[in-house]
Amino acid sequence: MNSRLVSTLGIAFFAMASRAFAIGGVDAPPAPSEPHEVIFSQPKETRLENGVRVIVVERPGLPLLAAELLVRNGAETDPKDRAGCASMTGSLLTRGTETKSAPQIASAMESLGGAIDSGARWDAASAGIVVMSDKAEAALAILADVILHPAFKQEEIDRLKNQTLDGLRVVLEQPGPIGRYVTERVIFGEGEYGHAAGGTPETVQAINREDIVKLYQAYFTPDNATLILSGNLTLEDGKRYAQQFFGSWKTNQSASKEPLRVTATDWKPANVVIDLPQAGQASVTVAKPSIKRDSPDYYAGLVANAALGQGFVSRLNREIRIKRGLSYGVRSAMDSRRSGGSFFASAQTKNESAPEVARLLQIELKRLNTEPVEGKELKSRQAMLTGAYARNLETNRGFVSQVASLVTYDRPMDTLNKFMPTINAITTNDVTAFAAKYFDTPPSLIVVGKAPAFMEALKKDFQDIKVIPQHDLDLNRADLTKVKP
Amino acid sequence: MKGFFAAALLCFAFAPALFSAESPAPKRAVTIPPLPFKHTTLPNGLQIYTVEDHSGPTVAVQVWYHVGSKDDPNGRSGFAHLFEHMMFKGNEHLAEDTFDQLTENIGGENNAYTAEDVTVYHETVPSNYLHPILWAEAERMSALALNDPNFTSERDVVKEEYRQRILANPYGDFYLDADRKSFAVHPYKRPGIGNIAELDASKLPEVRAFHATFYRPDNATLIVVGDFKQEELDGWIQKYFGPVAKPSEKIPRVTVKEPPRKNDKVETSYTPKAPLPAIAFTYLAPSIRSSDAPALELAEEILAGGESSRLYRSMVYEKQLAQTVSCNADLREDLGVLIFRAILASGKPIAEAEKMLSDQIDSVLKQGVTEAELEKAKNRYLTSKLLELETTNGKASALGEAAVVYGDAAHVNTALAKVQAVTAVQIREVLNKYISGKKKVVIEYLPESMKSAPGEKKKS
Repeated sequence: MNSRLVSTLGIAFFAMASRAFAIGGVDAPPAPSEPHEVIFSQPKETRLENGVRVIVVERPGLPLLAAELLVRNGAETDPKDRAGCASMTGSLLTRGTETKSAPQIASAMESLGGAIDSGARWDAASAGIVVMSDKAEAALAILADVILHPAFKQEEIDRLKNQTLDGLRVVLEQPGPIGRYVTERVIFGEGEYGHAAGGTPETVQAINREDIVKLYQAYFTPDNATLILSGNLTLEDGKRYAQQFFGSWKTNQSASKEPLRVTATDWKPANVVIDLPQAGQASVTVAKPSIKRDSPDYYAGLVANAALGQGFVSRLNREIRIKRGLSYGVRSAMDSRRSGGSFFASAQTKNESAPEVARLLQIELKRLNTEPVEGKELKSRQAMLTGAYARNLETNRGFVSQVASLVTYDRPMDTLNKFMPTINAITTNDVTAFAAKYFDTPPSLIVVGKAPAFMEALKKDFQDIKVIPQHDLDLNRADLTKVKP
Repeated sequence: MKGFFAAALLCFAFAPALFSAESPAPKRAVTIPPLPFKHTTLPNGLQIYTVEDHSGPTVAVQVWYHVGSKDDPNGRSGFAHLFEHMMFKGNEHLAEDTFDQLTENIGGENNAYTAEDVTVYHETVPSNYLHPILWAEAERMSALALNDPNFTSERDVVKEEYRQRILANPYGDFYLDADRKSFAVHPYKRPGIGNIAELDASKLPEVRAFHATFYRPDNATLIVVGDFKQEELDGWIQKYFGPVAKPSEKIPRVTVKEPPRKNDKVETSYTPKAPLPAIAFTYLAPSIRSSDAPALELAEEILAGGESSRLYRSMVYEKQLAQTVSCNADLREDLGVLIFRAILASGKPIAEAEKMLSDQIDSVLKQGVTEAELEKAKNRYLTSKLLELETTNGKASALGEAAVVYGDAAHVNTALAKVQAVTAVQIREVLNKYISGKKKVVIEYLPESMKSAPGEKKKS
């Protein structure tokens, strides 16, 4: 899979490596041998009469099964002022059904040696299991029960609310997570992805059983559902399991869906500092709106992102971590969703270094426009992406999560085997065109940390910075600021 | 306590009957195929374990050095970990970042970690790149070429790692406290991440000395798992690792013996960062090589593994005293520590949480565990071992841990039988051996707001 890289990169690099006088050992680095081909198991699929899509990945070998039941809507369906509703609905699935209590479900699943979890993310909600193959039927019975017959008992709702609120108390003391929440608001505003997917203290408090049941009835329906099975089983096994456990599931005709909010298209950059007086480090992020998952620019975007901030060799890690020792790690990501997307680059650094890191993040984003990703850099980034993809498909859980992503965004299943050639076909011009289209104008800057340690220096490079003290931060509002009484 | 214990029994008894699909399942019909490893030793002392496995086009390479944070020099807490970072800085043949070039650039990955007893360097690469990776690992075993700028810059990275893991995390110091407060004299009391002052005090010549002392073939174990031909691999190993010199000096070893604790201790600290109080109990525990280790692993699972475990069920689910709870049999080469931790739910008195945690532990000490709990823990252990074997890197890690940490490579294939043979009686006996009548350290990590008038601190 990396044959082109072998010759070019290998020679360039080793020429550099052997510049010094020998110190003992072997100073002539060996060349790699011929690459071995990799082909992934192609998923097979069928559909039940009630509409449930069934996808089976046959992976003979270890006696394991990973399975997920997915519905194609998630946190984007949270009603207004009810951020976290889809997430709570997802979590509550395993916390009690019409016939079993939460402890009974946990106990039954764990007795099988397996695990079950459930929740919601953007654009999808799911429950999943991992279990030994000989326990598959018992585990799938539990999975079907939590999907088809959740009880949403008030007692469990209250318990989950308390746990979520305490969890938020801890999270909202940390610069990294606060930075991520604020970034969503800065990119998506009042749109469908702008709110905190896990909820805020105010919205979690406000969610009631009716909100949860309504959301469940609207989206947990067989025609919106896919069962994904990966492991030591055949398509025939998968069909039988699907029919046995999900065949009786009926579509709820009376369920109604609220229209989704839509992200405004007239986005403008905004620079925001959240002053966190106890911050032991600052979190620094630059961010912009990006592309939808089905955009034709998606693969060029992946390569551009890989060059910028994915892995040790990426430009940001070279500049910020390796050359200057300013951070333990920098990361950029293109987060492409069904109806929108974001792009961000982020690092944590000591409070005093926040301005320098902010400046470097911005410079490198711009440099994607001016210094093309070509030659060995391009090949390196392609290899990194395809290699990571292949490693992810080493495990059944990895396979299920890749298939789940394809299902969520309505991509064909042969994407699994087309991913590598598609990435390898991206050219320097594709990446440059992507950067010109999406990174030409300035990004937003989001810094969370001890503001007095860096504000003065930060103002030299960034104008119009809005400073919000921690106690005035309101994640429920697009302007992020509490309304003064 | 007794009341809870009865409830737990009831529930376990009910569970099988509730799921009609759960027929009386065949008892562990699943077995794990053994890892068929080959072992050789080079004349310079390098230990080599390999598994030829053509199930995928990748190969995992790991070098385990038998040196860890317990070997940090005096006044240099965090040094072994800082050194690990410097191993990526090259030598006169290896350009800086060679490992990134030889892995990430061709679709592989690399990383390293420092534990108390070992430092492990690992790569997974497309199998046609095995040859250059072996060369590069042998090179950095032979020598490092270091300079002040790359040392200072990498030390800054490590300081940022400390800030990110410890300072930016409201409970960072709480997690370090278990080591700091549990051991009286053993170097395990110094957290491997170090601290800013001791990192700042470290110097470049100390890095060279550390390499000379510990990074030598007779202190290293090479693991190769995946898509290779044994004969070809043996030739490459011979060619690159064979010439690495074995120093004549003895390898220094930690010989400090941790004495039994004399007193119970309560260590209370206050923090402006944590919104919820946290508590921990710790007890000294045996070496990971002890015959008591398998029973302790299962005990940990029964007490706090999963939501049906005793501590989650009682403290998080039923009484809602805690936000999270864990039990960790943290067993190491010289000795271990048994750590119970809970982050409290808001508004709950810490005295109540401490009492409940004590009562839960007492209940296992007095009444033992049920057969159903034991069976569940064994099934979960088996699943976790299978998941470990899904990747070439997972197989290499399991083999390396057996060979170096357990001091017995065969352990990778015999561990399962040892765990499966543990009885409920043994679990109770082993827990009593390390807890009953032993001295306990209690750690209280409290929000600053609880630091009110004396005597009132435990009321929240």
